[in-house]
Amino acid sequence: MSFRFNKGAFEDNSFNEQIREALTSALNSKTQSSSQTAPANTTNSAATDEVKQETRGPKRLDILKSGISVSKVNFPSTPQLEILDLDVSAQSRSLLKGICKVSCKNAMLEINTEIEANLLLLYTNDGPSFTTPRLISNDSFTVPITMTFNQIELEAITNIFVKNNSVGISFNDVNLDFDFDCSIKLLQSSIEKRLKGSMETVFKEVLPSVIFSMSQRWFTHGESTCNSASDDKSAGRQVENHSHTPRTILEDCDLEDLSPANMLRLSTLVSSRQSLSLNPTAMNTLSTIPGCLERQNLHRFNSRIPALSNFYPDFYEVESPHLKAFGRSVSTNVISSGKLEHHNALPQRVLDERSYDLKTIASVQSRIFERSSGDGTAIRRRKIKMGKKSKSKKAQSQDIENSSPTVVMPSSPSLEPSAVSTPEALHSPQPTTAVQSPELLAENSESVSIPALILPTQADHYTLPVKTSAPKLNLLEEAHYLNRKREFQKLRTSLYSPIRSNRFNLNKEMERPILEHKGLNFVGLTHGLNWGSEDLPPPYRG
Amino acid sequence: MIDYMEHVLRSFEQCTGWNRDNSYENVTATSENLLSFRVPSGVKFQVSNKSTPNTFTTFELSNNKVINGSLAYLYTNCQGLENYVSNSRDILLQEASETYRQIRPLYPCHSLRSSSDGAKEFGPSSLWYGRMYYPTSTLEAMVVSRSSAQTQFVAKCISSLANASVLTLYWQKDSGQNCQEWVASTNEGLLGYRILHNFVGSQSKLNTSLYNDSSLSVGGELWFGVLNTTPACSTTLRYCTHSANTGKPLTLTLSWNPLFGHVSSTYSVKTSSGATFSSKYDFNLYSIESNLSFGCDLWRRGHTKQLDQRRTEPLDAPNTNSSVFSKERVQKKQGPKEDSPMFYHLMAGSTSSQKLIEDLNVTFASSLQKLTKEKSTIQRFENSLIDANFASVWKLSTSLRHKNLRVLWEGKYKGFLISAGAEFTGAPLELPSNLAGESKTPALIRPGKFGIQLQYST
Repeated sequence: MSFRFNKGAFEDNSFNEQIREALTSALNSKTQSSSQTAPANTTNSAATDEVKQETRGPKRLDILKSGISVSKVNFPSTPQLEILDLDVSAQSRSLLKGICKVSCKNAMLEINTEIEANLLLLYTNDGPSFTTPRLISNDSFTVPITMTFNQIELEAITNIFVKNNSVGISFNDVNLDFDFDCSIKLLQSSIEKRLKGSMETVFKEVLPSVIFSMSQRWFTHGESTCNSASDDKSAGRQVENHSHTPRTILEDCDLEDLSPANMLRLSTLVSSRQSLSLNPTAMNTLSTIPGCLERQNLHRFNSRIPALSNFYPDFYEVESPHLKAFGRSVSTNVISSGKLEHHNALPQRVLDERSYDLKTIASVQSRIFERSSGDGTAIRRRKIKMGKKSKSKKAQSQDIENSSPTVVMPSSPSLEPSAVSTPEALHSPQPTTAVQSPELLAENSESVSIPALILPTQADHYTLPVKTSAPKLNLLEEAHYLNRKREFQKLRTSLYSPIRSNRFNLNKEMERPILEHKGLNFVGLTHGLNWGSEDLPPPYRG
Repeated sequence: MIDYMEHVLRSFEQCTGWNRDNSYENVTATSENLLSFRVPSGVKFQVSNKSTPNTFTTFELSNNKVINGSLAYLYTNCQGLENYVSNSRDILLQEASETYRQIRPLYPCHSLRSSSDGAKEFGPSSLWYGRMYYPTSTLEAMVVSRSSAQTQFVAKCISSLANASVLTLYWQKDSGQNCQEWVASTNEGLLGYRILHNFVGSQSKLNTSLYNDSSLSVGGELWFGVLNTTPACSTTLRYCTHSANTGKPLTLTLSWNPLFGHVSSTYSVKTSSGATFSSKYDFNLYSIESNLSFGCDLWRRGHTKQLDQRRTEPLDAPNTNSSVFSKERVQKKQGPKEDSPMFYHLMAGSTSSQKLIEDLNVTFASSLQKLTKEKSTIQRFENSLIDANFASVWKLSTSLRHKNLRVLWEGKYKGFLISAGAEFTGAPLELPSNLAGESKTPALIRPGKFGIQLQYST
């Protein structure tokens, strides 16, 4: 899913006009309803009928003498919406939960109205005439008032819940700043104080309810948009009336809005689903479909997991000779050979031949530590100096301490460059971008590395190790999500529950997989987007 | 039409010697009565009864979309109140209806005398009043207490289920020359202070008339709503006098609200015993909005036979008690000093008065004749007002800005006091005033409100 602001709407004046009309109607609907209840008792204020007063219910004071008109609205820049987090499987009943940052700058708003100058007149007219003392010459006039809000800067962290037929928004961190200018300077400070005081209720109560009711109208597809000026009660009634009628969330026009890249991915998914072929093009690539990890390539994925055994794959030749074969049968072999123990330890041969490099080992261990701990705590190494010439092997982090035995190193670690150069370059200590869940680690530990590590795609890693490896690993992370079939099934049913309707079933058969894969891709892409650009792990803990 | 309970309350004030017109609240009562009189809405029927000399009850039914009712009880320990309260058959229409308020000028000896009389006669008395509205179960309660001759304490309270309960306290101190009031209300925490000062009547240099019956009063009020921190204030000047030639009373007021820049001036005149006219001009300095209102009373006399009968009645008959007029009668009853207030300014110790007396000595005969003539003109006019037996009154008022016309008919028919009225508006009431001008609807005057009220009391 992608959010896109139609920039054209902001550049020309239509957006401002829309806002102006919406605000005017919204503000006046409230005042009209209140002014209907308020009686016109200016002419006979001295002697209001008492019986009438008794039968009347409690009414609100109306300081406004005319409607509110929004005269000027100016949003010069496009509001920015930054998605901080998107959680699809948050709740069972909500489709989507996200955290967004909304920011809007340099906006301007001007409101005109007329207010009653003599407040005491309102109160004395309002009160029962029996106990209200009569005031002589207590007349009043109306004052036109213009309130200008300049330089409105809004920055808010919002929680967005997209449910079946509505959008709920709660504002968490609201920073609102504006320059307030009132045509009556006497009232400016007090009005400003009150405005700032009431901002909390606006953002906590008013705006969420307004957005909620508005989104309900949107999801019913404009059947009540003609009555958008009517107040919320009737809108709510209409929503109830239309609750049984079919609703369509996605339409053909929505599909047209998809970007070509998304369409390409979708079509790849569709074709692979139809042909049951997961690697239609290249044999040795990790995955052609982004977000998919094929089982047959699992060993390749595992081979890139930092472990000591992966660095010296040549020494494992004897133990796993059959892994050299590729092809479809390998995948079953991998499953069957899951009992092969993966040791985070140097092979005996390496030790025997003394072909290890201390720096490599240290980098591997630090990477393991970084993956397992996650947070940015610095690695503390214990250095053991053995004698004068001998170097101690660098100590490990706590979780791998027992598995990696301290080795007494020879005084001169002369390594054969031909044997170590390739894995060292490949696994040089570089910032890792993907985060590995513990399950994945355990899964990976079952596999055994393969000797042929130099692949055409991996050859690129020599030149640009950071940039290219990052998306690859992320895609593998998506594969981890794909494995969670159960949740996924649940998600899919919840995704399409609102469009299980007659209208949707009437659509062409071909659109169905597209829609479904759109959903699939939507899941994967959002996570990919989220993590791919981040060096830190996503805020998924807790 | 004044409610029966209101009538009892006014009688109580009258009986205990409390001058209602001396309060700042009623400083513009004349123009208010003539311009913004209350038009009944719906049908309202009221039966009242003086069950004992000290207790009064009222039952009321009104139909304003729904049928409402109320039951009111009043108890007072004031002695002699029964002489002032009259039933609907005997009551004078000019007393039962809100109309021109005749302000008596203040004379020092008068106030002294009355206060000394009050000290002699005054006994602490109080009044309790309660009214229950159905079906809203709203309770209205009032306690009026006269603790001394110059002070009055009023507590009013409304207790209701739907709205907030309100308690309002008044502490009033009337020394004749100054009337001060402190008001506190729980509605919005309203606190208020108002004062009315009467200038002692003295010879005006501009007034060619020797018989000076004019009074000048200045008052002001300060209000502050504690809960909503809204202040209000106003100041008012009132001048009441008689036309020198015809003896017709007239009242001028000028009110100014300095906070909201509102200026309003009224001019009310009783052109004859059967007609009163009033006009009011409002102007706001800040919004430059203005308003011109007119109002008039037209009284129709009833049978004169009854009038003759009533003239022969003794003066302390219970039905001679319009606040001003009955005081006059009470004064008349009290004996020989009845004329002294009128001529006090001629006998005062000030230099101007001394000079005047000297002048008076020079041209004694002609001046005195003139004096008696003027005085007799006014007296004659007032007597005609007191003794007139009006059968009905038409009240009309209109306002240019609000574009409305209000008509009220009040009269007596077979012991019933009937008041029927309607209000016609050109512009719809719901619209605010600035929008009403824009909507150029064809000026179809339509009735905005109409109703009839029947009142019977024994």
